[in-house]
Amino acid sequence: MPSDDLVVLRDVRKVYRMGDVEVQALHVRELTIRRGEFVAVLGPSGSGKTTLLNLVGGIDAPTSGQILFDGEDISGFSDRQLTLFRRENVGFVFQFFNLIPTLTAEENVRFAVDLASRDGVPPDRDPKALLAKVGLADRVSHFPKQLSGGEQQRVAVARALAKNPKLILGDEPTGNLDFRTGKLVLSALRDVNRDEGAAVVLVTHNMPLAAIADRVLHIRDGEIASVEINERPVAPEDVTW
Amino acid sequence: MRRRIVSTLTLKAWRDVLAHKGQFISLIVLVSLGITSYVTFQNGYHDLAASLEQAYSTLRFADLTVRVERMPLSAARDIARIDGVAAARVRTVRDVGLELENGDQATARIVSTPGPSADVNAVHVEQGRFPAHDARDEVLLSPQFATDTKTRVGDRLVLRIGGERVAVRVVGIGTDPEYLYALQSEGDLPSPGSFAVVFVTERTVEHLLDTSGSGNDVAVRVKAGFDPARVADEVERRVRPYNPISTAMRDDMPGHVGLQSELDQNRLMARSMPALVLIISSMSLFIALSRLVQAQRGEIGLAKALGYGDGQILAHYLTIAAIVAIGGSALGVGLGLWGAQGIAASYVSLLGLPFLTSGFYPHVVAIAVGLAFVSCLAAAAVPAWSSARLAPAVAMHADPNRSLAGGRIPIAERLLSPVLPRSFTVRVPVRNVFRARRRSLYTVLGIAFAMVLSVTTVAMFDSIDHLMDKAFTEVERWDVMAAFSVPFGEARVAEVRRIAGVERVQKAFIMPVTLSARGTDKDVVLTAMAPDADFHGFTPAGGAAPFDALAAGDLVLSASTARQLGLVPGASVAVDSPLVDDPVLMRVGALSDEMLGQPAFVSLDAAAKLIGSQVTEYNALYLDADPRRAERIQDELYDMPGAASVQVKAGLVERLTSMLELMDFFGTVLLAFGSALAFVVVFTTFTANVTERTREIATMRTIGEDNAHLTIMITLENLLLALAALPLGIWLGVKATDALFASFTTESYTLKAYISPGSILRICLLMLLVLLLSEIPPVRRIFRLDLAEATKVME
Repeated sequence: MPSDDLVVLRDVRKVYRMGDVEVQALHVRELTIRRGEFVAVLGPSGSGKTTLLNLVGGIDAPTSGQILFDGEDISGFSDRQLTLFRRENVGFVFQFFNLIPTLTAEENVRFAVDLASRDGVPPDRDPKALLAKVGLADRVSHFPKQLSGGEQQRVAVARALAKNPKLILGDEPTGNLDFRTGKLVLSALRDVNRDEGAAVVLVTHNMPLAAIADRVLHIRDGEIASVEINERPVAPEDVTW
Repeated sequence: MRRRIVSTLTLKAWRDVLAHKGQFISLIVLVSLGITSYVTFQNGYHDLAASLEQAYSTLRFADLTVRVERMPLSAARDIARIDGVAAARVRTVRDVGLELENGDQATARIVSTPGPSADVNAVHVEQGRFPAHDARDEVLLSPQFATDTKTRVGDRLVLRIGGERVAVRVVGIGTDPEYLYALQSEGDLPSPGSFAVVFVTERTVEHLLDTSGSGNDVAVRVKAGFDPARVADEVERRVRPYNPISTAMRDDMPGHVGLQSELDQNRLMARSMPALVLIISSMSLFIALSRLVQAQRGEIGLAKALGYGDGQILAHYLTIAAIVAIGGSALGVGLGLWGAQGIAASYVSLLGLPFLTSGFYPHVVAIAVGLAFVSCLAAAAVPAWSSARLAPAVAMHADPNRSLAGGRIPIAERLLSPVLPRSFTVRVPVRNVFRARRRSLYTVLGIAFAMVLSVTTVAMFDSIDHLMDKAFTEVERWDVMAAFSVPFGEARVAEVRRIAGVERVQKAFIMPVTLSARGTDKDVVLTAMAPDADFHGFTPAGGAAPFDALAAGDLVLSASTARQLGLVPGASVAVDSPLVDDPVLMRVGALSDEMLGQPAFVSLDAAAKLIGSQVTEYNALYLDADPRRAERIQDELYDMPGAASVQVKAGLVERLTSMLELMDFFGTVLLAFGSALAFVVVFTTFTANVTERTREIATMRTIGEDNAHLTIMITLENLLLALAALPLGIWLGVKATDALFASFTTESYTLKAYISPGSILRICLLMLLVLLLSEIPPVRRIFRLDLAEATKVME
């Protein structure tokens, strides 16, 4: 029976070397993200939130320490192993949407489906159904250029879902959106979390957004300063900022 | 305050260069290639011209020669007293047969001379010594023939004079200024192994040709400040008692014409080749800088929002261009000066000039630096100005990467859809080609321009091969050709017909004539032949069919001669022959496009007017013969009295082909240069392609796309664009070759651009190889992308 722990970080450090100077961007002594959990990471700019996200998502490697994903240590993975790891396990939602401009909404999602199908069992996901799930059933044939910012970000959420990931990482996914559109995207993420059972880690510097999470990590100066548990997370529709 | 703003922008310009140093290094290399070619060719040309001038002045080159039947050597004193004559010398010049120790046959021109001390046409001895004054069998041999036939000092040659074989000994290798470039007659292609110049003393020529104190040619050097043409008139008047045949001013002398033609071609090459490279590099620079500036539109908008003026922003990008120009010209001038030494030395050696004069030409360097600045500033000004004129808000918010078509699947992809695999590895590249149109256009243009120099180089060589092939299969339709210095009758023709292996004999009478029309004179070689003779193939270019024109007693002229004289078919032209007193008016019946020289043709019957009697004697024979017996036939022909030159076509072709192989070196250098240029241009283009798509590619990698598939996608996209670029590049290259040939075409030959299918295939494969190699650095950059950083970049 699989453990309830999806991601475990043990004494993880990320140090950047700039010439002769070493800057410690992050030091996490112990952190566990459970399956299906919605975690918000809060902190000021430069506090290390994105570094944490990058390490958990396998797009950066720690300087030291151990990162276990589903019981497997990914901290020593090669570039090739990290690529496969991301392909099979992680969905990303970026601040600037990062859709492929020459592909339609459906094709952007299908791109991720095809990737996931390449090395293993197909995720059996219908891109159109995924787009419908984020409220874009009537925009499947549109190119990114023809979609609003909120629509583009919802396509990105659908793309993140396409491979049926165990973990979805959102780096300021509402940072480039207006209030109303931002809430639509948060709703989509929350729905995915509840309906699909995917854990979500949402990085933001926007304090009110933390209310929708099960747990809130406060990061300051590269360390987790405090952890807050939301007994009653609020619905994204009810959040104001 | 204003000063501070400008200095901050200058600092930014420098930081921009450092931040994109890979791209800027390639731009600098691109500019330097253009400048290198300019300095190399221009300096090389000036060195070559100086070397030739030094040879002419040191060896006291004659300004004119007059050929006569026979005149005493002492007549030179009388000519030397003519006002304006610096020196005059009567000599003997006569073509005879020559046999090498290995049995090979050639034509030898015997030229009598006092040697290195001559006041006119002094001999330069390269190896050995000049023949001794009292020796009767010593000769100095021209270096090009000696090199080609591997004849050395001490070897023996057999001269075949009037049916007699006379052995002589080579005591030195050298030449005089008239034969620095040894050509038998104007319009000939150089064929060093078939034409030798044999310099002998007066004592030896008397022994060989029984000249007994006389000569058949007077060489005259004119004092500075005097008009050689006027001096020539006076010389002609003085030699009238000796039956003058023809006068050759320096500009008519085959060797000088050949050298001048080489020098002119070198000068044209020194202009056109760098111009071509500069155009290619400027176009590529324009594209690269355009993309660089386009990519900085956000920064431009921000700068404008902060209060920078259009002029300051323009100056900023011009500063970047100036940095490229400074780097490119410094590198280019350095490499060019180094390359020029090699080019000049190679050419001087190839042309057989005895001296190499090297110099530093400040104006060449100044022009090179000027060209670098003009091309860089022009390439940067347009995109910088267009960006500077944008409203700040537009500049900041416009997405430079999304130069995409409207919101529909491109027609081409819809048409291809049924056959395209469903995989995005294929569909994404296809989609990119048709939707990122500006990027596709830049890439196609970049690859096409990158190809031009390589295609031009290959097309130039193919065209020469094609010309040779056509000249010896379609034009020169004979196996053996014999020219005689003494005319002969039908009995000789019958005798030749009886030689074993001779299948057919066609006879002709060849003479130099002057054509005059509309106040313009033109010296040509006129061949009188039977109207149905087919030893020469015509390429009709106007008027009646050439054979009909001959049958009607009309002239057949080369189209270029007709152009120069302003003649059209049906027009009349005055023909001045040395054999009759007055010019004869003849009709131009047909024109022919002649690839080599400017020959003219007339029927034997019509030639009677130019000879003064019916043609019953001939001086040339064209033979169809068994190729296996051709050399034996040549041998027997040389045994006949008056045989001056006997050519076996197969041997001639072989010698010309082997001589052209020498040019392969230059072709290889140019092709390597073209490939380097192509690499830099394509590398710059691909790097810009990848740079523009950094976030897109990083995103794909982040969501799990692997490097192998990304490489396939990028390669596929580049190959698709190359498919469009290759035909365009070939077309541009052939057009550039045509433009080069248009400037090279001389009286001696007319070239048309031609590229063989095999060469097209080879050049396409070479370009694909260059393309794949150029892709390596930008693809490696993708592999090393910092995904965390790249995915956060705001477009």
